[in-house]
Amino acid sequence: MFIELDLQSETPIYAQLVDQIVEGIASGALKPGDPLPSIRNLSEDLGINLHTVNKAYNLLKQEGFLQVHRKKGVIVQPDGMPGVTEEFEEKLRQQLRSLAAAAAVRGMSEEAFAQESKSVYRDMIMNRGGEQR
Amino acid sequence: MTVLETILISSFYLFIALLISIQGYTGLRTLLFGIALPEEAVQDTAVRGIRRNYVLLTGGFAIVIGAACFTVTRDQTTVWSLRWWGAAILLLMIVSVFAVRISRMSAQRLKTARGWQVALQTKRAANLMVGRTQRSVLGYWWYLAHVAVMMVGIFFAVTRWNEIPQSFAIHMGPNDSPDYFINKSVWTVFMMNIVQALMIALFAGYNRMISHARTSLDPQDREASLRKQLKLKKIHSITAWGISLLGIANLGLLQAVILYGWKLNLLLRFNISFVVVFIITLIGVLLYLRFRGLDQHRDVPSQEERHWKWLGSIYANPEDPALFVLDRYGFGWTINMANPRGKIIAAASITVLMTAVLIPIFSFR
Repeated sequence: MFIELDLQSETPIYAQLVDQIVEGIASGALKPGDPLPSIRNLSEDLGINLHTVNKAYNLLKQEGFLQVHRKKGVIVQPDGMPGVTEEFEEKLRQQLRSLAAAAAVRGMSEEAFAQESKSVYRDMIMNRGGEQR
Repeated sequence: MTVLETILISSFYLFIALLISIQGYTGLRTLLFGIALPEEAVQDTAVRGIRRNYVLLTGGFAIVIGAACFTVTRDQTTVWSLRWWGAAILLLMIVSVFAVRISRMSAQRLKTARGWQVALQTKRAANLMVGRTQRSVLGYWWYLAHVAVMMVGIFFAVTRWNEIPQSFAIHMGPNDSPDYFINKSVWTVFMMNIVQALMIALFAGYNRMISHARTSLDPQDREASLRKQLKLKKIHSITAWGISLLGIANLGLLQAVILYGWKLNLLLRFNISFVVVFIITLIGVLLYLRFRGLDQHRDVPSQEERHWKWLGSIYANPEDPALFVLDRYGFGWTINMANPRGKIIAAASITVLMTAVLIPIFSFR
């Protein structure tokens, strides 16, 4: 699986890293237990600061998507992904608010908005083996 | 100096001259002596002219210097001839530095005059699958072959110590009679083995460097650039292993000829074959890399010209965490000199290389 960063994007680099790794897990490209490159290797390959990659990995570890393995280094969580917490539902609602508002203002119907959400969700877990509960 | 030695030394000089002269044509085609050009400028007649002028300038000087050196050293002893040819190579390198400087200035002027702009790549891509980039080079076990050859030499020297004469010849004069002798001691008997050990360290280090060099992907074509990078590393690793093994065997043979009086002819034939194999392999690898487009890779994070100092030959980027990056000439890797570890490694490599070269020179005077 490849990671691609846009240095000129408004999204900070560490956030791009976090998003793409989570997308990778969702689509099944990254399977539970798969080792990820070390912080040093990934930062060297991308040519970005070590601390940026460190921040991204730490965030993912905190959320429970990654785990530090004794021998393999950083791996994708093998013992089951974190479930839907209240925190996550709150975050989901927060981020959907602005999109829903913009869609409503522009005249998009509720069904169309739901349809878009569904198809994006399906895209994310398209490659079989995606994390589904 | 014998005819054979003359041939060996002058062909080595010619080989160096060739490598220096084709500098304008190796590596990234969009790079003109370190100045980045847009794609459409590559076929420009003025650009081709700059490259051609460089070849003519350095090639011309190479021929003149070479011919002069040849005539001067015809009747000299080997030691003096080696000094003259060494000076000739040094002079050629100085000329080439000036030629590169001039070419670079012309390239910069041309770029400004034509208003060419090169957009900086702001996307970065990397591979997350750890398994794919592991084993990109030969394992270190392969260097056991080198160690074995060295051990054979040491074993022979130890077991046949008493048969080695107290003073042995280290050079044959023009009349096939020995003209330089040195005394037997632990240092002189095992000198070749010491040089072998230094060479093993150097080449194993080179192998290690390749495996640690960053795999920078082209965001436009990630899969293909990954495969090409891995292939490039493999080719370099295998070539370095083979060439160094032949070189170490050569040194072992030299030791046997000096200590046990083996046939000199054998050594000379091996020497010539080694030089021939070395030159052909290097040129072959260069051509192969060019034909397969393996030398056209852009190392994305190190593109900015301000990081390439000293006429674009040294890379120093404090923001880049990588220690080893692809060289701009498309052949091999270079050290990030802004990294403190990089400075240490560069200093250590030069020291080891100098020691390996100077030990025989200063002992065999």
